[in-house]
Amino acid sequence: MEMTGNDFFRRIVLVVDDEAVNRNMLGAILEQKYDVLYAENGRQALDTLKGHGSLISLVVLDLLMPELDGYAVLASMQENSELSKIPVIVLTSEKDAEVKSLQMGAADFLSKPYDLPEVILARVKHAIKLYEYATIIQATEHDRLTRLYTSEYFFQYAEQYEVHNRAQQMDALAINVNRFHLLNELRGREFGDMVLCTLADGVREFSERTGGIACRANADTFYLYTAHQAEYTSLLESLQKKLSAVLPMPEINLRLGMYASTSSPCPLVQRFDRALYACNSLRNAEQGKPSVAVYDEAMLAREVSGAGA
Amino acid sequence: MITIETLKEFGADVNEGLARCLNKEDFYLKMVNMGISDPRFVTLKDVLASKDLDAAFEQAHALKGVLGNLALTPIFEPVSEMTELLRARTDTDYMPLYDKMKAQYDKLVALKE
Repeated sequence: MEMTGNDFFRRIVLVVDDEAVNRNMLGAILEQKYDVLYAENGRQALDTLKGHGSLISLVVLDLLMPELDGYAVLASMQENSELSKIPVIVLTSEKDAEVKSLQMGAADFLSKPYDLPEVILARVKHAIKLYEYATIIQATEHDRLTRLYTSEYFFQYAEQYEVHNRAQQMDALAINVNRFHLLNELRGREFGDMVLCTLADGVREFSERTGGIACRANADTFYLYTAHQAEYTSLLESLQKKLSAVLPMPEINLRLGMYASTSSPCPLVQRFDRALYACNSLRNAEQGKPSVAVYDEAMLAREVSGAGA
Repeated sequence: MITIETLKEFGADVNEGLARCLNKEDFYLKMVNMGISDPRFVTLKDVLASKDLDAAFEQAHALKGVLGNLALTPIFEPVSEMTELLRARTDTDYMPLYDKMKAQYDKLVALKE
């Protein structure tokens, strides 16, 4: 069987129950697959959680306990940025408690008397897996510098959107900075990063306004997947204006390539490749003036003839 | 001595209890002995007599949970019924239910000798 990320090491699960018999029985089931920590009440549970933090993969939590009950533990965990990410499965025999605990952030519940060991282990495994996937997504979904999507997630979400909104006309835009590498060379990387963040802010504002999404595709190139607009010169001008607050105008030249929604249908990635081709075709555009190019039949013919040369 | 056989005769749902204990008989019997050592089976009477229904609910609820996990059905059933009445803080005479529970509890404890 192929090893997955789930199998490399034993996770730690915290069992919280004031009844020794219950702790022992649940612990015996979980110890087959996990390292198990125990707490007899809510106070001990929170102390253990604060001591171990995100090393704990999941909490199995009884609700009615002395000292501090399960609801108070749930509430405390939700208030802590680290602990709130740890999934909690509550133990309960009451329907009202199921609803309340789910509303308070519990990931799942286990009934009392306990389900079969196989059911308990499956639900624990599932909750841990979902939590770990969510953590990975959070860590990789956004570009570290600009906080726009990374291209992998951008295309995933754009494709999902396409499936559910086939009638909506969406344009593919590529925006970058003419000769950005020179800017980095002359002004330093930190300055270049500041330019990129400023650009990203403008791109984000536009995408939020038009109902699209945006990513940092690479280095200084941004992709925008947006509802069709009549023109994009004003977008470039607003981005240029944002940048002029941080550096002199002639130093930077923005360019935009567009593959329109009304063009020949092709896969999403290819649409952005074409938008980028159009964008890069403006290499020699007039300095200081924003430039927009549309990928059309003529450009396709040039691209094809260039490839065949 | 409490054994799997005597538990079956007592009326416990042994298969269910064993399943929760990974079908380990020694472990299940250890848990049963631990469970019936709980002093609350006795102290619950005084708590009920004092009419402290909050405390009585807490105790009955805890015992219900353990008895359910151990599948000690003859004791579980009266405790479960009592717990639901106490959950609603019903003003009633709890002694018949307590006595019913205690009789079954005493029967099981007697098997230890």
